[in-house]
Amino acid sequence: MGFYVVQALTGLASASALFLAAAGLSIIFGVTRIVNFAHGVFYMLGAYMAWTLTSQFGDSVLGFWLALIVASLSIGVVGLLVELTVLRRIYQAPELFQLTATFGVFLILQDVTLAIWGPEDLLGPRAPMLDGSVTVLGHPLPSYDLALIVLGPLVLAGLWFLFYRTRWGALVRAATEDREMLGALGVNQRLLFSTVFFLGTALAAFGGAAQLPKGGADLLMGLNILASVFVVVVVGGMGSIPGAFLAALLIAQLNAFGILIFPQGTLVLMFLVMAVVLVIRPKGLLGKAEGASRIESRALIEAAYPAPGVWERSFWALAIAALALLPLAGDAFALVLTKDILLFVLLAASLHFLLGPGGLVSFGHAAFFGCGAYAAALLVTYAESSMVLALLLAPLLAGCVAIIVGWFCVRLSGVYFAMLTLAFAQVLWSIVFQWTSVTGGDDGLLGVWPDTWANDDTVFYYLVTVLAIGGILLLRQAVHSPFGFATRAGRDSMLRAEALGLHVKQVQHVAMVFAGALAGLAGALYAFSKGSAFPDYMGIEMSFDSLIAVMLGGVQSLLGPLFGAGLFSWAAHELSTLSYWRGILGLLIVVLVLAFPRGLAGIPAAFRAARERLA
Amino acid sequence: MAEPLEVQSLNSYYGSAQALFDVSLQVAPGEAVVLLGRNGAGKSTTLKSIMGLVPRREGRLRFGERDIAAMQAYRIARLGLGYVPEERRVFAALTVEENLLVGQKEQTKSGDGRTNPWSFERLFQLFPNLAELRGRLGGHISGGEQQMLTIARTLMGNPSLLLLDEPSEGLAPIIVQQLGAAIKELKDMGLSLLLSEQNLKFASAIGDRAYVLESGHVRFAGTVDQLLADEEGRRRWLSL
Amino acid sequence: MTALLSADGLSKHFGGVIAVDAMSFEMAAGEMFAIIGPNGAGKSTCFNMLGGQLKPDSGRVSLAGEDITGMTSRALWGRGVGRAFQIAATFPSMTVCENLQVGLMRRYGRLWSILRSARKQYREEAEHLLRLVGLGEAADKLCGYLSYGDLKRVELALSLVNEPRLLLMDEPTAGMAPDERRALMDLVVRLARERECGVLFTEHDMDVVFGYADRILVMQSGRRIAEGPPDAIRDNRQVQAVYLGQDFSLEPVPGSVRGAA
Repeated sequence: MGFYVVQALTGLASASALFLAAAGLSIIFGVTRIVNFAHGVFYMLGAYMAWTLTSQFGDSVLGFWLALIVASLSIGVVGLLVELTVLRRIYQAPELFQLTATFGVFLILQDVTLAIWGPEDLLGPRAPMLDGSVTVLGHPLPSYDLALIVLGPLVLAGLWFLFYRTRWGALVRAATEDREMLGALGVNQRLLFSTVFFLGTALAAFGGAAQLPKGGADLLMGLNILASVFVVVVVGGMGSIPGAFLAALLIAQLNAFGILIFPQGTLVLMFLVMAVVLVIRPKGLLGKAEGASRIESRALIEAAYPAPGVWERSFWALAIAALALLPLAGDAFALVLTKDILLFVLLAASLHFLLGPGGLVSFGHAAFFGCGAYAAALLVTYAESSMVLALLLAPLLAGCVAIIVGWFCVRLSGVYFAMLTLAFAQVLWSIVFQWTSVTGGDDGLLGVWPDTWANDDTVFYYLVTVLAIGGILLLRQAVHSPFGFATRAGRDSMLRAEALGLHVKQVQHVAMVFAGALAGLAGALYAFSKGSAFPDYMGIEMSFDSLIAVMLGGVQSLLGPLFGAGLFSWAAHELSTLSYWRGILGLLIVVLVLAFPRGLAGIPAAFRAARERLA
Repeated sequence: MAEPLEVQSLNSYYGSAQALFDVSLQVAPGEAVVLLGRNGAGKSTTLKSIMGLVPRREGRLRFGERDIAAMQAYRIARLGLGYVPEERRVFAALTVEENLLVGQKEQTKSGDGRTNPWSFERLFQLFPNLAELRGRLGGHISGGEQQMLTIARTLMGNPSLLLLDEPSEGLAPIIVQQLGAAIKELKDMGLSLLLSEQNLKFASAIGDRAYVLESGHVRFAGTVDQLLADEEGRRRWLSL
Repeated sequence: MTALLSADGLSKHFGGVIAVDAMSFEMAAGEMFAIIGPNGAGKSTCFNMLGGQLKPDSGRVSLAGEDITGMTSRALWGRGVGRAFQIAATFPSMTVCENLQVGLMRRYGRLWSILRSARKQYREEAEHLLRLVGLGEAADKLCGYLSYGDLKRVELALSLVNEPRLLLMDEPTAGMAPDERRALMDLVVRLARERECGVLFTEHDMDVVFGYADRILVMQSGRRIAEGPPDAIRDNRQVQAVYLGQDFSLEPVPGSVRGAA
């Protein structure tokens, strides 16, 4: 009995840090409507900064707690700087661009942390006076856990007071509804946004700092907490602080007890709980049913995808000719690089079908890519299947996974849809990662080579090119087809589409399966191209990379995302030899987003505008 | 006293589309001016442009001694311009009282040094329905009540010039009558008014002078009486 | 003869608030039937229950004798119910003609093809419908660039795709200029008479209501307070008290003292 009580108390203690980070994300999202991917990195920075400060001043009780607070506030200031330099310029930009920019910030700050504190995991200091343990029903519990247990409700009460008992709080709540109106009433939105962002990042940093004595600091904690925080915020209800608290308690307890029953699958468990909650209560535990975030009709007009013109047809003719002639150049490396790029472009094009015509923001599209790769690898490894059969079955299997995942996801919309796709992708990733006996876990599956007839580099290159270009053209044709019109109709106006007899959710479901199958094809080809399948193929980073590639190209365009993906994939290859290449990539992303808020497809228009201004 | 508003050659754009062409108008202190025109003629855009709420505007915009052409909305509001939007835009998750609180500006005196005559009690005298709704959420009151609340919310900021965008749109006739009485009372208190309307009857009951807009151009400027007498023009621009 | 549409004891509560309380009415094919009442009287709630956007808590709706209570708008579409929304809902990223083509492709069950090109499907039929509502010229304009009045007409054309026997129009002329209102309502009346299609509409413009409705139902606080032909409604004391009011007390007085001009 005592053991379970202690386990529950440990759960409560870890809930606090989770709650702090989630509350911060929730507040920022509420006001700025930005899903801040950089949030995890502020949590991590909070821990690192607290480590540095406590090692200087952490010997006394006062010094220790002051160090935590000063660390949080100073990271809050870093957040403020990010808000002033990056976010402030893109509040009017499309939602997806904001995501891309914050992910760029994430990459930069991740590498900054690496540069300052190095790659070693840091051990947390002991909190003065709280370094011992107390005995609860015969079992020891670290005293510091008690402090953490008190901390959560304390912060919750403080936030409640701030939001419901001060004019600033009323302004913040008003801003979550209608920022422009608030400005017209004489409220300085910029100042309000900056203060909110400061508060949100400081809370995240405080979460990281507070858990330091318990868990230390490492470079992966940012990405890890991000996934958990998304789950907490979504389960609790986007924008609801009490909801975040409740969800943090639930998730933390789940972890505390889940680890006893199913030690390998805590991550799976967490995401399954999220999926169940969202299917039963699509707005989260305490989330309010608000109208689905309206996409501005002007943004939709830009996503009109007119019928292909002469310019586009000639582009395709040229591109196909160039690809066909490439092997004549005799550059083996060029062939490998082009194959990789083409497969990434196919992945991005299939994602673009969801993002653009479908209006469905998927954070976990790489899951289907990975499913395709693993389907092919498993078929080859265990069924000794030929490559042709594997290439036929892999997209079908990826499509089948998309049938299941889509069945849950299309019930939701907007941010919730995005989070749920991320959750499923994580579940699939953990299955692949943890089911070592079948999938090889982290070591992956090796020896997935093409059939002998295709073993020649040039032959396999042509195979990849034909299938990838075929897939891309199929996706493009689909945009102009009746089915493409049906998806766009559902995106433009669900109300009207349903009143015209369209089953919008069904259309979206089919779109997911279609896009998933093509991502699966890309994955299967990739597996044969590399001779292996690894969990990374379906990881968060892969999903985000494809998302960023599409964003960079411009969702509202059809060719843009292809260029974006090509460029991204090429740049990743070129940069990956540099030591801080992820950070440099992040910097590039941020600069591109700030300079061309409509994506690469918007560059011609941006130059035209600049010329007109000069003239 | 209130300051005069002067708009000269205002051009406004949404993206690459131009919505207003050389719009000029004035509102003298204490005056009630109506903007008339069909839907899409540019009435709302004119009000939004004055308030700094359109993406791009060019031209000379002055409120008293200040140039407001490049100013942000919140600073324009602090000078004493109050904007009441067409869609009401009440904060649905805030109570009626919190909505009013948001409208109140930080400083006790507005830009031109007038003390604020508006308090909850004073506003509840003007709009008696609101008094009993103090604790209700903005989203849980009727359309007519929301229209009252949105005006009251703007008044909390103590404006000297009130911009009202189609206040009678979509309201029951009986509510329109109550609203008209309240707006008249504001005028009698010395507030300047600039309101857009499609309802000529409502507009002519309140306005001193009128401008008629058609596809972003000013087609008529004169007194309300002149407009009422100009049957030809009314038919052409307003199809009345 | 069974009525085209009949509602029997329709009710809806939101939290503790009663939005619609035991509403009952019947309307015939070819009839123009208006529901009016103050804001918050429950008109839109009532409409959304009839149109499949909301499920009633209790009560029954039938269409030509068939029970359609709580059906989705998708299912209602299959039974010949067309819908115009209070805020015009069209597909802004498509041209006017493509909007109608989507409707037509759905009607003829051609929406699932991935290999065909959508722009060639049912183009002529779409243009025919557009000419009917007076939008022949605008066929290739993006819906997002249309004026509000034209959008309302696109909506009407969209609801005609399926040759409806019942049209539900929530404030069909809101935000339109007087001449546009007349043009639209003339068209609607013509369709109602020619095609024997019932039209149920709400409206705040009293000229439209009294000029075009055959019968009017007045709601207040979720209940029916009067129902009858326009003349009877105009003279009804109770309706005057809660909705129409005594005529404008703010009539302009020529020669009255005005502020400095």
